[in-house]
Amino acid sequence: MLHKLELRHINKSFISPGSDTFVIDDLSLHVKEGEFVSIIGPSGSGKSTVFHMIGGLIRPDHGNIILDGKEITGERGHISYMPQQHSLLPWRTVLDNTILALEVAGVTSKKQAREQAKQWLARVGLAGYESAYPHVLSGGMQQRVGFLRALLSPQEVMCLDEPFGALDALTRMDMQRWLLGIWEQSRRSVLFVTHSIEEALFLSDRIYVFSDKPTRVLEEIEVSFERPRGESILQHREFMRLRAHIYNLMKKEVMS
Amino acid sequence: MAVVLLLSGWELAVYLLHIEQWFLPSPSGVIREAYVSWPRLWLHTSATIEKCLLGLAAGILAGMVIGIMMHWWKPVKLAFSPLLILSQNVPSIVLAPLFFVWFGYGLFPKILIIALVCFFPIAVSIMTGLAETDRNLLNYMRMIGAKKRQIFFKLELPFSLPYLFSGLKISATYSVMGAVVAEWLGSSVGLGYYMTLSSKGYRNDRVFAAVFIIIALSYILYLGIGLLQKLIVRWQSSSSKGEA
Repeated sequence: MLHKLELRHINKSFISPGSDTFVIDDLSLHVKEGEFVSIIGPSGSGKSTVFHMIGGLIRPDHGNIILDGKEITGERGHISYMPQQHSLLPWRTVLDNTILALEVAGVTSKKQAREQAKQWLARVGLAGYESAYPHVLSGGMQQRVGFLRALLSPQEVMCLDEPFGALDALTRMDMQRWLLGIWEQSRRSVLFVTHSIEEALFLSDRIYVFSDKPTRVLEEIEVSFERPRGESILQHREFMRLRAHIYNLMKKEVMS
Repeated sequence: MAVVLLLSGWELAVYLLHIEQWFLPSPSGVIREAYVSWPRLWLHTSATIEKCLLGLAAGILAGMVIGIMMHWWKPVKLAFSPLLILSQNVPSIVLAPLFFVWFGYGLFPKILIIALVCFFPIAVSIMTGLAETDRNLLNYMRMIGAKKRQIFFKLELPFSLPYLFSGLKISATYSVMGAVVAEWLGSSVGLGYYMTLSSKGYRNDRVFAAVFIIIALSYILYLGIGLLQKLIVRWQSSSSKGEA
């Protein structure tokens, strides 16, 4: 099966006067059509750098980024993106924020985009907030808007960079269930960065465990729980085994 | 409140110390004089308002164009930065007579003086606003593939609006001063001219009447821009209310 998104043998160093940092060492990974793939790794393991390369903000020194069989290395605008900070424009209403990515891509008229967004807002529990400004929303709701904005983007691959990292534990779990519910209906190809082992296991089809700098893939883990998933899998023996396994991998990495 | 106190203190001092009106008029004397000579005063005031608004508009336009160009093209910024500072170092009192020589005594040189005083705070404030655009938002816009033009209109320009308004408030008050100075140095109408004339005739009550009007004009312009800011930069005023 053709890979939706593929990173082949990526290398990257940041060169600054006095100190060169070797950030990424021969990194390869892929996301299949309709697959939910997570990247988990210690802080500062260059996960965001990987995203910036996929987004075309940074060029790798070596290696290729391939989308639908076409090389996109160093090109912008091929992915839909959701950052850790909600990054909503404070002068735009919730509705106008959700259509921002559509507007930038310029594929649909504003009116069409708004119609589409309105229906979605209701589906994701944000009915009645269309004309509110982002600052009146809670952190969780802001991230919902951010996710919806990414979901409505015309680009097929969604890159989510620790979207729930700044939320409190309870909201975070709530958001994970919410995200899973919507994703299981839409089945977009997702690349998801997280710090949380449980979050990665709960959401993903596959997990890449990253090493500390220079970043390599330590291990690729298949997560084969049935979908749609419920919270019951959190008690599953296989879930606990995988969690302990990833935990040990990461612990070794941090200790070494 | 402080203003009321100041005025009553002044009034009382003039009354108790038996100060002559031509030396230092009391506030009530100033207001009486303003009332009596209102038709003539209004003629001069309206001339000043006209210059002021035209000059301010020209200054805003020039300031925005220069600020945006300097943000957009680095070479322009490098080339123009020293000139920008230079333009503020030459006192307008010196420039005004030169302008009158070069451009005559019409409206144009006066507008030019006001615009020259006004454009600077606008250019600096909009440049600061554009340059300080939130890094996270900028990163996001780049990640989703926004073009330079889209980033400018959808992100940087709205982001710089609150900054622009701070500059506008300064420029608005400068514009009245600029107009008065321009009239002072070469005009036959306007508050600046009226003040020179009254001062030469030892009519200090009229001088103060003009001063009061100038203060009122500056203040009204300042308030007007504050109001405009509240209307346009709604996301900011309401967020600060939320925090309070």
